[in-house]
Amino acid sequence: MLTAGRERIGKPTFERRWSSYRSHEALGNPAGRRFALCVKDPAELVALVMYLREKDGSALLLHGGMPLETALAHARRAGCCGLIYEEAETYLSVEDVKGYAESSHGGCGGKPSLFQYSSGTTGEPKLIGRSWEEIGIELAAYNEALQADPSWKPVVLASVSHSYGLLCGVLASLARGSEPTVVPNTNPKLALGIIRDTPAHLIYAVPIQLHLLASLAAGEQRFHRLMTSGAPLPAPLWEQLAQRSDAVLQQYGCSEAGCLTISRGMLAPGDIGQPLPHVQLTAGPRADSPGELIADIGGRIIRTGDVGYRNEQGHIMLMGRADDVINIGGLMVYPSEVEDTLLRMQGVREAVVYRGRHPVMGEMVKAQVVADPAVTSDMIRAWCLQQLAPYQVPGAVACVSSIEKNGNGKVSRKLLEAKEAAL
Amino acid sequence: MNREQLKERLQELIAGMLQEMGAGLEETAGADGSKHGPLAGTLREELRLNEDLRLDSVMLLQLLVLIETKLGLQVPENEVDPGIFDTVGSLVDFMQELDNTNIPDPAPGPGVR
Repeated sequence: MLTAGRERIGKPTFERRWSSYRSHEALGNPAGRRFALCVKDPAELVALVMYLREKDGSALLLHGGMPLETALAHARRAGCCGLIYEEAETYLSVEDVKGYAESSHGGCGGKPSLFQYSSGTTGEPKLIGRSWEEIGIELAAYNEALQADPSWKPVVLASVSHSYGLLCGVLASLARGSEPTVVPNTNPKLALGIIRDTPAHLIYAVPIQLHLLASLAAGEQRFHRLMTSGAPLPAPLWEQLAQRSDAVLQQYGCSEAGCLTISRGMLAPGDIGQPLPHVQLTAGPRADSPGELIADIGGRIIRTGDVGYRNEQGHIMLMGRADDVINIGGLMVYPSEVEDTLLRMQGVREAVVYRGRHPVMGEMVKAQVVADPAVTSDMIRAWCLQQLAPYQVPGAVACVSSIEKNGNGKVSRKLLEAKEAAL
Repeated sequence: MNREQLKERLQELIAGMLQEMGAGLEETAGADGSKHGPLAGTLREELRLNEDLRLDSVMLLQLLVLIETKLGLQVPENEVDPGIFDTVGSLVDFMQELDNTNIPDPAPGPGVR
C-alpha cells in the first residue's frame, strides 16, 4: 500500500492494524466521534485516517512530535473524545469535553470530517473541518486535474500530518492506484537516495525541502517531477529547479477549501495553474489589475485573501497576500515582485518588502535587506530603478544584519509594519 | 581532522548559517563580534543546539547538508538518530564518526597484505 522510508508496508499489515483498531476500547466504535491524532509514524497515521474515514469517525490532525500536554489541550479545545499519541495503543481519553461548543465552528454540519488547525497568520490557530464527503470530491477532482502518468511514483517529503502531504501526497495517490513513498523528515540524504532510486518520481515537498535537496544534489542529479506548495517559491530557487527537472508543478489551496488549483508545469514562480474541475475561481483579468482569488465550490464561497490574475494562457498567477499589497496613490505594489528584484541583485542574500506609513502619500514601499558589506542602500535603490516602475521602488531601504522573524521563524511583513507603526 | 578542527569548522558553519538566516544572531553570537555570545570563543561541547543556539529543526537539516557539501563528510543515507542534534558534543561525535569512515583505505605498505 505504501512505503515508509525504505520499508514497504503491504495491505496485510494495514488489515492487521485495522483489525486491532476494531477491538480497541475507543476506536472500536468511532462513528460520530472525534479523535485527535498526534502520530509521527506515517503508516500508522495513514491507517488511522483511512479507518476513521471508512467508519464515519472524525479525525483531528496534530503535528507529529507535539508535546503531550499541548496535544491534549488541542484535543480538548477541538471537542475530541480522545487523543491517540504516537501509536494506536496510547489512547488518552479527554474527560472534560467543554470544547464541544467551539467545535461547531468547524462548520461541516456534524458530518464525519477531517479537522485541522489552520496556521493562522495572526492570533489563535483556527479550527477548520471538512467533511470526508467533500474531501472525496476534492481527491477525485485533484486526480482528474493532475493527469498523472501511471508510471509516476509519488515520493512524499511534505509532512503527512498536514493536508498537502496527507490528502494530495498519500490519499489521492492511493485513490488512483499509485503507491506513495513517505519519507521521514530526518535526513535529506535519505530523501535524495530514495529519489535517486525512484527515477519516475513525483516529489511532494515544500520550498525549504526543495532548497535542501537542490543544494545537496549539487549539479549531477536531475529530477523528474517536483511538486511545490505551502509557501511561495523564491524566484532564484524556481529557476534552479526548473533547469534541473523535467517539470516543476505547483498546487495552491487553503485549509478551508483544500486544493484549488494545479500547475502541471510552472512557467513562472507565481504560476499556480488552473482551477480543479470542482472549483470556480475568480481572479484579476490582467497583471496590471489583479484581484483577490475567490473560490466557489458548489455554491460555497471561500475568500482566500490572496491576490492574483489570469494570464493569457489561462494560468492563475499568484502575487501574494491581499493585506500585504501596498497602495501607492491607487497603484498597487506587490511585495513579492519587488523582493524578487532585490534578490536578483549581486550580493543580496535576503530581502523583505513591506508597507510603511508616509506622511503625505499615506502608504510607502519599504525594504529591509541583508547584503554583503559592499552593497549600500543607494546601490540597491539604483538597481531597483533600473528594473521596476518608479512607484514600485522602495522609498526606504535599510541594510540590516538580520530580518526579524515571527514565532514560527517566518518573515512577517505585517510584523515589520506593526513594529514601525508603533515607533 | 581532529576533534578540535571539526569543532572549529562546525562553529563556522553555524555562525554562517545564523548570519544568513538572521536568526537571533545578536543574542547568540554577539553581533559586534564580541565575546559574550555562546558562539564567541571556543564552542563549548555542552551547548544544546536547539535550546542554546536556537537552531530549529529545519536549520538542523540544513546543517546536515552543509556538513556534507562544505566539509565533504559523506552523510549516510539511512535515518540519522535525532540524538546527534542534542548538543555540540554529540554532533561532533557524529562528524568524527563520518570523518573516520570517510578516510580512504590506506595503500598497503610493505609487508602488509
